[in-house]
Amino acid sequence: MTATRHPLQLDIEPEEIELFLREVNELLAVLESAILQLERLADPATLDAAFRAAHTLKAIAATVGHQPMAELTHALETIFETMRTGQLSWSPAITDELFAVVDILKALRDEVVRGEGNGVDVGSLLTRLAALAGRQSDDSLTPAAPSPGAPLLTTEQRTAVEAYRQQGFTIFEIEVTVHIDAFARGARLLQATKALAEIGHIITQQPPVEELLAGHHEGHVWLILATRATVGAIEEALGQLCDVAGFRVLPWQGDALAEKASPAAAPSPDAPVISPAIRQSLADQTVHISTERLDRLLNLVGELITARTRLAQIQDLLAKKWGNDGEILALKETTAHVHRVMDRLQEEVMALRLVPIARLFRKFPRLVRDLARAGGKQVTLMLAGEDTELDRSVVELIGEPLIHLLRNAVDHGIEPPQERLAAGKSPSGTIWLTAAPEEGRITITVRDDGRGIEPGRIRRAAVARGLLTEEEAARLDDEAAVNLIFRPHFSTSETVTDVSGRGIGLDVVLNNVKQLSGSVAVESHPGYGTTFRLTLPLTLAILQAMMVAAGEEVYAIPLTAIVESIYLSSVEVGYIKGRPAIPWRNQVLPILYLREVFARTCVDQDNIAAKQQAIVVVAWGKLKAGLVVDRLLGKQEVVIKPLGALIGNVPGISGCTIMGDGRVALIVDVGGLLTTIDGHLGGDRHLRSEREMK
Amino acid sequence: MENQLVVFRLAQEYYGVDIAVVDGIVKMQPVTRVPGAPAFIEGITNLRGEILPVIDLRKRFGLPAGEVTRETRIVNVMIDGMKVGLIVDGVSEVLRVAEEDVEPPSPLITGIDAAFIAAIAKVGTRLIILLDLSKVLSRAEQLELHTVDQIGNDSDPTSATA
Repeated sequence: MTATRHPLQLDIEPEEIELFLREVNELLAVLESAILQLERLADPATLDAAFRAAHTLKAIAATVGHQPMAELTHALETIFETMRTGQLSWSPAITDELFAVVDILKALRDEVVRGEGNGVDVGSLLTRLAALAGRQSDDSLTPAAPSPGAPLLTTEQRTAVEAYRQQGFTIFEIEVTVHIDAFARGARLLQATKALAEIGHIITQQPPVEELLAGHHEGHVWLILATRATVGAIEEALGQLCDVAGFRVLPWQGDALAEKASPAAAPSPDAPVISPAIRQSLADQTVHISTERLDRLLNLVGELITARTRLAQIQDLLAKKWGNDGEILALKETTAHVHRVMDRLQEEVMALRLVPIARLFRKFPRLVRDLARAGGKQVTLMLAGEDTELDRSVVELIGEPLIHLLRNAVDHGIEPPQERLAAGKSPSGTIWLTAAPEEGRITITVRDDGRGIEPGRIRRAAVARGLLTEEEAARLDDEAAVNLIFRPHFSTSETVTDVSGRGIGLDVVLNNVKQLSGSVAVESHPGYGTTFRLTLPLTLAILQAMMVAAGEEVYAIPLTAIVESIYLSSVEVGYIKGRPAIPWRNQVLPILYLREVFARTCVDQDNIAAKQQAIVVVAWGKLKAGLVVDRLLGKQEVVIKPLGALIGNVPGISGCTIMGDGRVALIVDVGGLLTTIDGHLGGDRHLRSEREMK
Repeated sequence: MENQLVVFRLAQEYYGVDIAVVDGIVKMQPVTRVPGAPAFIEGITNLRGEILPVIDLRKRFGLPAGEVTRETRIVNVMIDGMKVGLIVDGVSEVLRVAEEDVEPPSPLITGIDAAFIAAIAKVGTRLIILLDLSKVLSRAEQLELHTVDQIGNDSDPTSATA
């Protein structure tokens, strides 16, 4: 099998690629989840779903003229069919083969997208599948039949379809149904016809216009439309009509099939029905907006927010200067109105960017299954909260950390069946992956019922790797010991598996999550399992922050990291090991002067209005500190901007924002700041010093 | 061939950059220092809603620090696809310079590191130093690589300009 690249002659237009991809991806997802489910229980409903998905894929493959893809899906269909009739029963070997098919199908899908073959060989797989199904591989390929009741096109019409296609039109098969009790149903159907004629060319329709005019119809009209409009636009046009009970917009496949089908081929009893789920997803995604556009839109909203803040400041200045006269009051009313509208605009724009986390989660059952099989484990993955929505930028960035955590759970958490049985557990382990919204944040937990993390083992590993001395390790409490797993190059795995235990590990998870200004917490009960809890912002674009002045600069501290703010004058600063600290909630809280940390100037107490100085208590995971600032300037919504490539990563700073007066404020990365300083002070102790003072 | 140069003043000398790389010129405006950034990066500023890193050319060239005056300008240039603001003492004019008046840098020119000089243009009796902007940045990037994490470091970079 050599990987040769050769151009493919496929019957697919560039505009159709997107639709093709969407359908194929949906169907592959349906197949994957069906195969997973069948492994547990080969129930008829799942088999049907799998069979239909394979069948529809075959139809699509035939439509674009991708022979290997069509052959493979045909073989897949045959397997499901033999299982449906009870001639073949489920076995893990079948699961593996079927997943192999899905993987190859993905490769073939990519061939279609690129229009270039990459030497994927389906021959051996076909032979194996045929053997499984107990049939010969020379089983002739039965092409999928066109929809029942869909009249075949005349030669002229087919020529027309071809001509439109070559001009870049997409051909759709559309069916519109009007309510049974609607008034003047024929007229409604005519309206639908007219609406479609406005956005494209109707090649043929059943019943024809004259029949509709004469009232000869059964409440629906079927037509073939050549158009440059998207599915969304068509659906929108139809959706605006009254009394329309339903409609179906599908890419036209009939003519291609009719050409490819041998005339003698008996029509398959199963029409290539696009499953309701796919139709739903097509309907859900009626408008396609590029992510770039969404980003631009959000940037504009960001600028408006900045301008709004400025507007409010000017209004306050005017009010101070002129009191509450009529115009000022009118101005106040107007700014208040602008404020409300802006809030809603922002909400809407943010909502546009939200995607359900299901998009990410649905990749995981397969991943966990493969990992478990590779590691000789039995694992069930339970998903919950897949509907939880979050910004697409966040979804894009948490994929990797979650994969890491799942791998970790399978490889290190869940025990082999024997060990589980010996421990009195069920031989099959469970991993729960849960997403839940929580006060403007999202919590994702990865919990397993495996062996848990043994603090002693972590201590020994840390010493063995030279991360800590024996005394240091012994001093750590269990919780701090468990948290060592987030240190770079920390890995306790004794065997290097295919996927994890290569020294890259949880520090990567931590870093990725930190980049998202999120946090990771771990909780473990030896013998009972481990829970990783990721807390993430809903969006990366806008932040609620406390604005503070320190030195000449203004900093924005994310509200989510702030525990509380107290006046410096209300507490007494003491020194622990030469470092300033204050008593706080029965603990010793180390304090850091923000102007010292960032502005690199020494604190000249005399020049600061001491009364205004405040301590902002911030926390990140277990680390806590008080940040001493010159002045609190108030809460504000800020738009996060990157510092830019020239400046790059700055420890303790996650970005910047433009304030109402046009100046730039830096956004404090509390996690980064505390860990950097914690690291500088060599200390698992300094910022975690709760226990030093009782 | 004729070059159009944006000519600006820095200490006693006149410098020119090709007008094609100049995005705009604004009056000196507040610049926010970024801790841990390379020392010659003055900070960041808001240019019509965009964040622009600003380089103090005096510092970059190792010249003594100057006062901010009414003449001080930020020249926004595009260097190797990156937008950067350059703080200069003043912008004097846009000049057309004929190709034959441009000469390779002479060792007689002193004041700034020869590496930054692309050529010298003679306009009447004046000498204008044509800058190789990509050196200003590429060397900047090298420096940046050497910049270590400066949190907790008490040294003040602004005092190192004497």
